[in-house]
Amino acid sequence: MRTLKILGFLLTYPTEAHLQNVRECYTILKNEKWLSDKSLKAIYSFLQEMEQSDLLDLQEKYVSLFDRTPSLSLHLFEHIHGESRDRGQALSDLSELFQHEGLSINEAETPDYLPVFLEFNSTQSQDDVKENLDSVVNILSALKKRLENRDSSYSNIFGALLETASRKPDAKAIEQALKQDSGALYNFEQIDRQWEEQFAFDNSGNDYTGESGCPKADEMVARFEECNDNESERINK
Amino acid sequence: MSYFIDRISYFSQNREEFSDGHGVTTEENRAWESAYRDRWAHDKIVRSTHGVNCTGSCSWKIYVKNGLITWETQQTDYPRTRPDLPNHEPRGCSRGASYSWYIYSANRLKYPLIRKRLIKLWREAKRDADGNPVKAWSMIQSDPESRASYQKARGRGGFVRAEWDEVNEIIAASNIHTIKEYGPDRIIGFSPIPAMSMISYAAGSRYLSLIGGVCMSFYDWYCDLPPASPQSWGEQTDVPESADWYNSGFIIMWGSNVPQTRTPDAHFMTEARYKGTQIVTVTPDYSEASKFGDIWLNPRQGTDAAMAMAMGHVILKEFHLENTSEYFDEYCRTYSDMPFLVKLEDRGDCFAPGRMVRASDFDKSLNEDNNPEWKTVCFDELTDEITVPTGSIGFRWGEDGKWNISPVDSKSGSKVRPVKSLLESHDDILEVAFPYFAGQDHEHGYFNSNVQEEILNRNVPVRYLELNGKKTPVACVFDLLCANYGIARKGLDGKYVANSYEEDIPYTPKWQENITGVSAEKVIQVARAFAQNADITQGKSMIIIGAAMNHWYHMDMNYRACINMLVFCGCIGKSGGGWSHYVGQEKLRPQTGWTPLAFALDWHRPPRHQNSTSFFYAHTDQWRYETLKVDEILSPLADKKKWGNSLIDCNIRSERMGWLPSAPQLEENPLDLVKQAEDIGKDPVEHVVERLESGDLKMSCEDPDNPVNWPRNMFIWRSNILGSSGKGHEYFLKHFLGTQHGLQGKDLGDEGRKDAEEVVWHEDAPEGKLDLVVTLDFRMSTTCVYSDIVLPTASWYEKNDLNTSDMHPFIHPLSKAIDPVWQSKSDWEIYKGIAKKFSELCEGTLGTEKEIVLSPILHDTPGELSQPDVKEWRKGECDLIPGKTAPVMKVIERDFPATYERFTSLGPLMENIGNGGKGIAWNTNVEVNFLKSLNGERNGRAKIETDIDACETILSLAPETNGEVAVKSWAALSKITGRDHTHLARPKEEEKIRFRDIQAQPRKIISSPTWSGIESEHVCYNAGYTNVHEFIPWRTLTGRQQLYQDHPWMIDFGESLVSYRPPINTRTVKSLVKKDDSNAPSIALNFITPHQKWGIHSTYSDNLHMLTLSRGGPIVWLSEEDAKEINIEDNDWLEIFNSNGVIVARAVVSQRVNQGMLMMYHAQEKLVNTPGSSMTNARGGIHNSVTRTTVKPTHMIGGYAQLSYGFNYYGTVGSNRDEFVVVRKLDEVDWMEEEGNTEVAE
Repeated sequence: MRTLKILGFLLTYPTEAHLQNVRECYTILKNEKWLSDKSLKAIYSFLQEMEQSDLLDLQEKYVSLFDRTPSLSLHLFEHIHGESRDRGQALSDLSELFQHEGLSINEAETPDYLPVFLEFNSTQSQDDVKENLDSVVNILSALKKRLENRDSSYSNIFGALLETASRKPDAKAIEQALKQDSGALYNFEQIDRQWEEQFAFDNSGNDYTGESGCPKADEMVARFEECNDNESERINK
Repeated sequence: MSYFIDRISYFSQNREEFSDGHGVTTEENRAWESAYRDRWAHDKIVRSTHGVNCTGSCSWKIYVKNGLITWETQQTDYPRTRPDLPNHEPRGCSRGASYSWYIYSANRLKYPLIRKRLIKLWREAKRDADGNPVKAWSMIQSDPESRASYQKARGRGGFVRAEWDEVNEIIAASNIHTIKEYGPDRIIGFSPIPAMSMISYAAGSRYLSLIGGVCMSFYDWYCDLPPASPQSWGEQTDVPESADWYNSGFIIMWGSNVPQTRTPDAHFMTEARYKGTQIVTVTPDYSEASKFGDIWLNPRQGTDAAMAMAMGHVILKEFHLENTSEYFDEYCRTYSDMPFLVKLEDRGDCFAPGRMVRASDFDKSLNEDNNPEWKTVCFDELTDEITVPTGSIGFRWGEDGKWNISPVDSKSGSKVRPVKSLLESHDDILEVAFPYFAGQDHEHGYFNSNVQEEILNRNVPVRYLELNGKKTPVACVFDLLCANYGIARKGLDGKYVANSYEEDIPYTPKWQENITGVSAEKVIQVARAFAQNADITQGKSMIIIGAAMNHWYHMDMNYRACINMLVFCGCIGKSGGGWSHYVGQEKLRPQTGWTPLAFALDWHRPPRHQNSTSFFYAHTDQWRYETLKVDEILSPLADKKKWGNSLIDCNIRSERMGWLPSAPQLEENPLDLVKQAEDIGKDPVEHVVERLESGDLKMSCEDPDNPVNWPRNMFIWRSNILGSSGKGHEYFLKHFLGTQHGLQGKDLGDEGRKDAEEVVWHEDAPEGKLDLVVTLDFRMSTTCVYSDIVLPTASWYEKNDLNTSDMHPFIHPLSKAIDPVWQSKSDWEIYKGIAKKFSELCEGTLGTEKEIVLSPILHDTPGELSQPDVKEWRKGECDLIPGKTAPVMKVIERDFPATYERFTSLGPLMENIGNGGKGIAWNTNVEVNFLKSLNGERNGRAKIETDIDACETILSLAPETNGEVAVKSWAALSKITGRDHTHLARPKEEEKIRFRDIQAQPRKIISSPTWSGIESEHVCYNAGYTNVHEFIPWRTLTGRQQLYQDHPWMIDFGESLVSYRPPINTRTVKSLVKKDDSNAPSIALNFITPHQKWGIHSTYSDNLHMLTLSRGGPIVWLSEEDAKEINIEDNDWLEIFNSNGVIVARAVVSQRVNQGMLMMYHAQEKLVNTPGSSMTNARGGIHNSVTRTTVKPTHMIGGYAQLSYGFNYYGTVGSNRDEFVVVRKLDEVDWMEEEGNTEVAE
């Protein structure tokens, strides 16, 4: 099953090899009949655009999109773990999964790099592929929307990938993700939101609305007030 | 049909069998393992640290699983201290604990990057040049349009990934072209603080030094160097380790925010408090450190010297004059210059303190044949005769055995007791003039003055001596000090001296009240307690002093006023006492093992070094905007006609006289100059001297804007100079880089032309001096964004290196926990790669070539005795004698094609000349031979191929890590001092610390004469310890702690003695009032940039977790009062500007902050959430956008004992706290959405 590998390849840094093999990529995709006509058409237009562009321009665009914009990162765990400490462990677990299937990464890449993940899936059974892609369907969908908001035809590839999953993305989660970062260049509200103070200890799981206080601080204030009351009572007596 | 897609793969199949069938990969179910391999399982733990510019130097455990970094925790295996002293652990802080987040973060640099426009030009040019890279580069440079096309794109995005081979080729070609066209001194490299990762620093500096490039200083440029330290002690900076705080009885934490900026050491402060140590905190704002204080003093920022002067007044009066402390008196006689004699110059209506009396002033030079003009004299109480005590700097060179400060007479060898005051034995009482600066008005009226006479005439007891055939009045330094501090003494009536603390006379506690805002009562209380403790404990009072004190233009006054307090109380060199300046991780413990590697001293000597402040002042054209005139800072006693108006002229004079270094050096290529000489059969040095003297050849410093004098290539590594330390950021952007900038002011224009006496004034200033900017980093910093080529370097968990600090005595490693990720490489490997490419491409352009290298007259060499007077060859006052009246000149032969070969092996000079440092030299053949067997040999030379080879080279050559060398170095010093010091290292003679040892556990270093403290099981490291306990002289004129500075420039600028000097007028605000057409109310505030809590400089400041803990972007702090005045609420966006540039940031309105002060933490990246400014229509700048460097002439002095140049030791410093800004609310926030602006904001 080469479709996933091709799609992964198209998501790698554009090189001469991309330009030279545009047609071959399309032929494989077409022959494998994995993608719908609609997706094939979208990929076709992506490939056409690629073929007609200057390689340096493609590379510049790629660096600015995927290397320099964290919200468009092709490293899946950027979207799951962000810069948290869990990321190292998650990467380690994923590489163990590859190992378990008898595969070791031979390039200087982390296992969560989308093209790596897609190539891995191209070696798996259809059921496993669906299951694996289902687990990242929200990320793929968010990336697709963000790329659309940047008018980038790379979104077409994500459209095709979404097709291969069995699950539909969670609309609420995507909305939330886009609210955090729509992908558009410098949205005022978005940056303002990053500035809003967030409480680290609100375990309710709800979004912080600005109305509920930090529970620990609340508790502390209540205690002080109680003390003050007792104190003033004592003095009044 | 062979599908290409099958050949492209990220995976390989795991082999079924391995090791010739001895091992088999099985598919057995290993689920049972997960019970313990689960969440906290890891494959290995590796010791590393963070090579960041903080003094923490904390050892960490790095956990690795499946070849990936998972997390880090603090190491807890430091060697224990002794009973009664807390251990060093725990070390580390939240910043360090967040480091592993960088490794795989989106901000990590993964591939070499290059500006698209440049690579396009390059590929075309290379094609046109038939594949010749050097030719291709010269083609690009010869077309001004193509050159400007990529220069203008700097900072504006447009990177593409590139292959290592291709970028190395561009870099090497550019270096070769530059050497051939202009000379190697047009290639510069900036990397700071070697102690944080010594090998990584050395990688770049070794490459540069081999090809003749210039290594730029950093400590002075950062303004972390306190020039007061070399002035007073002849030492760059040497300080107690943090454990020694615990031994102190009284600590003043003065402008140092210990819990915030010395986090891993702060526990010693807490522990000291528990023990009962008194703590006084001095901070203008209510900082984190304030809470430590039993007393909190909050002088207005920038006025600390006034308060310290008043404290000095109290100490001198109560402990030296009224009730003389026996301990203080003995200490000051032995260890300070107080007894030494100063000539009083007749100024008609008064006398002024002048030069120190020297043996050469007397008949027959008091029988001192060797360097009599560098031997200072005093009276001996036992004989009442003049004596020349041993230990002054004249004894250091040209004779052996007398350079020590045990108080004996040089000729008779008998013990002397120096007379500290002439009050009891004076011939006369004279009115002596002292300059007074605190009456000067400040342009914004913010800093209060205390108006008195400009010249204060005070009575001083004197004796008359027959000097140079003339009856001359002389005074003791101590008596001058008492007069300077304004203390009334019995038998000395007269004006401007106070009998009580309540008189408003400089420098009483009352006098300072209006300036600092601190009550006289508190000043008296603290000064008295400080001295009392020192008196009882014999010196266990300490001042911890921070950058906040040093970043003012007149920092020397702040520092010297504090140093005086410590010397008055006998605290320097005493366990638990002393001067603790912790700024910058400057302490490179195995220094003398490192310098040969770092500056390729094993192949060529001398290397090219440049003091960055003067360099950037000239080459980013900040001098063209200078509003501070020389006469504003001259002493009222100076002859103003002797001085021009312009600060850069002073610097040029200094460079010509060989005081400060110079780079680029000469207007012509130094390779060509040697060829010219050889063509006419002349000695190249003579040739250059003749051409300079005739005026036919000029030094580059005289015309910094002439294209022949521009620096052309710049390497930046381990540094974020454009995002963090580049004072005058917008000047860098405009003139140095030639790209979009936010500079608001105009240059001096006609006025500049008129004032320029030494410098050439060009009508139009150049924009874009640098042909190529190459930056190595692991993250996309602001500097990377402005570079042409960005090279991804290994992070601190991906390379092997060494790390030390001044805060603790251990050496420990950075270790490679995993291989560098993606395409990154260690700095060592990167420069090795560049060296290799350079060597390959030399063919046809560069072979074995000779060039002439200029270097300044250096401290710790005999040259430091070269200029007893100031004479300029250029003005015909003397001949041009290299190394005497002008820079040292030396012809060096470089085998350019052998650069790689030389980079990776230890050169012959180690055996032929030996090793050494700070004026001591020893033979090091044993160590060289050892390295041959340890690292392996190639062509008879020890190999230095890997980073571990490089580590071993340092560890073997340095006395601090090789006991045998330590003994040798102490023996070498013993010969000079005439006292045996080898006992300090003998017990450790057999100890040799190797790289694997420090990977096992941090190791305590071995005592060496490079440093003034000792490593012992009985006392903590404390600076000055060996001066006091071993009688090794300080490396100053008198060999004692030098409180009196007698260089003519010091006297002319009014700093022979300490005083209070108010902040300067920078004049960057008023000119903008008209330009500012916004209706929002505005206010002018003093702009200061303390170190932050959520980052170490700019590192970590872009880390999401640290951003979450702070406010997540650029912020400034201001007081509630000021906020109210301009209608600002917390979190509003502000525009902050002056003629230097514009910042856009959010407001933090806080009670913590003083009225009149605006704080912006140093350093917040331009990359994070920076909106546009309505003034520049460009993205708002960084903290340095509103600063500009202003240099100080007293820092340019050279060729004069302790005031001689040393790399990062002396020189101009980049002060920035005297600056003012206009602050107003930004109504519309513009996020600069158009393409082309994207890069900077990401």
